[in-house]
Amino acid sequence: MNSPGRGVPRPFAGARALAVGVAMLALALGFATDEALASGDLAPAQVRRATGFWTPARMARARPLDHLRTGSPRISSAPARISALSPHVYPPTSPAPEAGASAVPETVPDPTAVPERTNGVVFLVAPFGLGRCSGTSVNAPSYSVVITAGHCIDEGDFFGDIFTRWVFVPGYRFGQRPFGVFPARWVGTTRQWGTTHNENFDVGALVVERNERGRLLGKAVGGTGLAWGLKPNQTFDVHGYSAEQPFDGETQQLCPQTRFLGHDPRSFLSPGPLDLAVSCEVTGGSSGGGWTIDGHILNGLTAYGYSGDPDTDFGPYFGREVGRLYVRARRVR
Amino acid sequence: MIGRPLALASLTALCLGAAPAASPASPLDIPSAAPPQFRAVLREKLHTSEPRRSADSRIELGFQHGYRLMVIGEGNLVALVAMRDPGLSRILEAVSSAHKPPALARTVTAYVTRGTVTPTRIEASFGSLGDVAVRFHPSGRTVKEDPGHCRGNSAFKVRRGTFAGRIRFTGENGYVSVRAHRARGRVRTPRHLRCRGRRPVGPHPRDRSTGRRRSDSRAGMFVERHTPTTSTELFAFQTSRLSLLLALAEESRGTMAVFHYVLALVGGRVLTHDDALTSATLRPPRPFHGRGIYSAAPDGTKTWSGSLSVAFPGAPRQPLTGAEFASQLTVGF
Repeated sequence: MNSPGRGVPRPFAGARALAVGVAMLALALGFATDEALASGDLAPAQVRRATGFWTPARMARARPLDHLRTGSPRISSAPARISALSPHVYPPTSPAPEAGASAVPETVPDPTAVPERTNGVVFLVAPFGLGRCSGTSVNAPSYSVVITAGHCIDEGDFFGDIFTRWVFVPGYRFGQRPFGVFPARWVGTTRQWGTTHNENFDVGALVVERNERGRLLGKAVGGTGLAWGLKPNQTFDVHGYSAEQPFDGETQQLCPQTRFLGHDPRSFLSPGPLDLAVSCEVTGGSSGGGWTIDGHILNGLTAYGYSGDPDTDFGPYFGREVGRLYVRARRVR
Repeated sequence: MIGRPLALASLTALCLGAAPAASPASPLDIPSAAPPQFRAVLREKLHTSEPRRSADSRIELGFQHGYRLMVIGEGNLVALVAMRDPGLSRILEAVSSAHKPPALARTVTAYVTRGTVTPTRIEASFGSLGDVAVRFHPSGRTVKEDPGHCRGNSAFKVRRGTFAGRIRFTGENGYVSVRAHRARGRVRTPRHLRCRGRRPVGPHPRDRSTGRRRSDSRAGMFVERHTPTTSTELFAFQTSRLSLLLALAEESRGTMAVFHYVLALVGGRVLTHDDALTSATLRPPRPFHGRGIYSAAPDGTKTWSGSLSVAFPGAPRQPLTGAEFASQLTVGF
């Protein structure tokens, strides 16, 4: 995952955080550009440049977002009205897979197959250089919505809105872009992540442009369904592109049929629904990786972990704020 | 990411909120004798960097078996807190004293759950341990508070009064037990709050006088253990004259989380180590028991073993050593 979160993240927090913070500040001062924008519509010129910018060499150099912090974003659009307490399920556009139960990640042999092709890598330009996360194409009328972690859109706190040039590469494998590159033309996060960086709401979304071949994302790879407001006690398929040891970020990883283990105790200390823990070994780069239920319904994502417990993956509960974010994203023209 | 804002309701709500309203400083203010690095880490561990911006309520339940008991409500969080505290003044006097201070420790256990908190009522369930359902009846005049780290006059409006209804709570193995229908308390609401973070704690005068030089007599030990729903951390730091220890244990129990912590100040040294930093022994006084033994092998393998444990309210023997703990020893910073 990119940004191990609460308390003692992986790796150790404490003094290292201070040192990294100072280093990041120095880097950021030299890196922030006028393209900086953390939430909302992106300028057409910026969208066009993003596709050409992300060459295979740059993708290979992209690193997870560990220890990065940026400023608080402003989300301009008001949340849509969602009757949130009842469960919501949007159907997928691809069939459900068969999967065996395991909490140990396995490499997806063919990330271009259905439905694995809905998962991909989110590349972005961050203050420290080239960054990467994971993301999932979800079903939407625009065929263009990707769900990822909120901290892959905006890290908050220190530097301001400085991530740029997001692109989504579904089915990524060893530098190959089998379905092309989809540059983001709109980015957003849940309201709570955008204003307070409350980790219980660490969810973000991209609306992407057509790829180089002129195809819409949903037409090219399909999209998972999306559900929010369900009971947390689900069995998930955990997807992602872990990029730190023992992984290399070149292949899609999957922990099939991993069960909900409980809530992170520190999640109780922030308002909002409690974060979920599942058993799955993930590392930096897997942030934003989708947790699907029934093989094809997105109902969670990877957000953070702890250094002392590398086999547990934590992510936000998909509640009404995720629904509101999705509605905002699907309305983007 | 490291130390993202955990909103207030962290231990700040549980512990700072427990401080007497008129206290000039928080009991968790880090003693100025600690070098800046340690203070920063401690502050992060205790989540005390976030200024409080929302209304909070507190019910005083008096003392039982040496524990001060209270209920704190803020946002949608309700905490029942049991704490044993030598008193802020004694800790501060000890730190500023030229004499060798005695061992002092503040021990806290907080049971945190989601609930309903309004200016007029608090409702929450602590599962099998009990529940709270009370209404607030103000009495007396309104008092205005102006915390030092916030700008503006009368930042808080404090209404004192009585909470009436039902308060039932029995701690593990009956270490405390409360049955009350009425209890005194207060509701505090923010007014013109313009906080810029907590008051900065400057370097100790001796740090300034010696410039950037750091004494080699300073040593720090950090150990941690995480599981999906629990975490245990121990932080020990010492100078030639003082030692500070912080032990934290957190546990998620379904819809409730339990937070334990001990913040101890000890006159003299509790950590001994060799010059090569290949071995160290930590032997703190009560409420700790036993000793922890650190060993670093030439291949980089670290072990943390021994009999060290700590007594928290309701958890008298919490182990702090074992193979599952990650450990780190640092000196001379």
